Amino acid sequence: MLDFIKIIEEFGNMTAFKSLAGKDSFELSYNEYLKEVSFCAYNLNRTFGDLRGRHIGLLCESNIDYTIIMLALVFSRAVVIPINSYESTDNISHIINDSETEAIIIDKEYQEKISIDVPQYNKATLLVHSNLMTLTDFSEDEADNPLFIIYTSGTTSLSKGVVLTVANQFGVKKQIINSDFMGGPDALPGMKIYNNFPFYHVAGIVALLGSLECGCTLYLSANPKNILFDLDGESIDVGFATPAVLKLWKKAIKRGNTSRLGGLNLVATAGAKIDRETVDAFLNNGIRFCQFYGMTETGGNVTCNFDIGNHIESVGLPIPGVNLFIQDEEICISGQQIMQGYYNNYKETDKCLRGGVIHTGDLGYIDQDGYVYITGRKKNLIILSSGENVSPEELEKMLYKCDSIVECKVYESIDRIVAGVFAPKEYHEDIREYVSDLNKTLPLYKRIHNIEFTTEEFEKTASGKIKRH
Amino acid sequence: MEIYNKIVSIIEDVADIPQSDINENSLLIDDLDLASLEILAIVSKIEEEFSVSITEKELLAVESVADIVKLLETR
Repeated sequence: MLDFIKIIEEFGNMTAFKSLAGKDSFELSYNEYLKEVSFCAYNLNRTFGDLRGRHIGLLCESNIDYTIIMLALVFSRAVVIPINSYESTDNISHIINDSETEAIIIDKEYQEKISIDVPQYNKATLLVHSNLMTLTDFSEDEADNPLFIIYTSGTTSLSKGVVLTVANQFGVKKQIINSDFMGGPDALPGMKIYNNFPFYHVAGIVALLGSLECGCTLYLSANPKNILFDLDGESIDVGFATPAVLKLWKKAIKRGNTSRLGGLNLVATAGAKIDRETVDAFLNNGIRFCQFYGMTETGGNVTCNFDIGNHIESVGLPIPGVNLFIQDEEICISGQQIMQGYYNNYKETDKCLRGGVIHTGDLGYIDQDGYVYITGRKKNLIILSSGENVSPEELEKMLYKCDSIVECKVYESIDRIVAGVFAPKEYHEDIREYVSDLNKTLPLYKRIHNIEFTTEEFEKTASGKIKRH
Repeated sequence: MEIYNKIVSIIEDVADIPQSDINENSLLIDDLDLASLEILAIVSKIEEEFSVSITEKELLAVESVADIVKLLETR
């Protein structure tokens, strides 16, 4: 396994992190950062005892503290369950139960999101400076041990826990930036990367580990909502951000507020397809563009495109260690980094992972230069530019609770969630009110933006299901 | 009125929507078609400019520009 701790120890006094919070911003060197992780590992041991193989949830703001606790848990050999703080209380209960989480480390403000009986530990108590715990790298014997269980929305209404092992994340050194593209391997140490992928998402975990392994400086917003304002006055090289953030940045460029991008010269994104207009907004302003592709099930990105000028619609070339091929038009992936399976869910695992190959559900092709293109999705899943996956069936189930709705189908249109509804005209106003109330109970990204009414029933498949397309 | 004007200019600044397209009754999602991240960025700017903190619960109940004005008037 990769000697992660040894590698990052060697970066010593170089800057590992800058936490952005206006006048409260601060930096940590690699030495200082490792010390923080060691303090936390000691505190964890004092609190929980031996953590090997124990399932611990993490429900905190996605910032530098999050990474300290997460790495302390990882190197204490716990199994980490990172929980999306924007999830509904019901889904969080499902995640805790399904993953058999025995305790949760939590930010005070998220306590009301937990509605079931599970021990909670305030994160602040685990970050105090006490004694140092020695951090040891993983051995080959630990390769198949679970490291993370990350929940992801599938096509069914309940999210599934993707089990990622030690080998998935520490098998090989990560390639988050193609060094050839940035002026050779020497260019990476000290490179300033702003990351807005949340750490409860595999892209955030990959950005964190990859940045540390290469000796880069990771810039993080103390409050991730401040994405649009934190970089003003900063000087960075690279921005890792979701397509939704890039759209915000594009608007900032359009309005002449380029200083909000911190002078970056490369943006890299993943999680959803990006439109040509957004790509051009960056390229035309001298900012290079990189597209990654991957999913939680593949342990992070499996391709990257640093040559977007010549392959604009492509997600790029497979990264080293990944075998990507097309089977019946579907993109299939094998390699050391793919998941072990869905936690305690053999039925769903069999659908996705067969013979060591992940069937992604994405349709696509590979061109003569080896570049991969995505043309559509086999499965019924909405992928928004925020990188969030939304199950249409989950929302349809909620809509069917309204008696006036005879039939409905939820789909995506121009990056917004739309509900097609078949109902008699006299009920349309009631249904609007129902949806408006329903929206108030949903996380922002899951809200229904439009209702398209029809007074005729939807077209059906041979088996009587509503046709999706 | 001052609160309202400030909010409208923040919305214009973040989401690039002309002020003339925004009114007090504009619904953030249905009328202005704001993405979730745009709403979060707007709220973050409002929190900074008005030196307030808006909880997730309060945010969930906000539907229109007028709702934000009301929320800030109670502070």
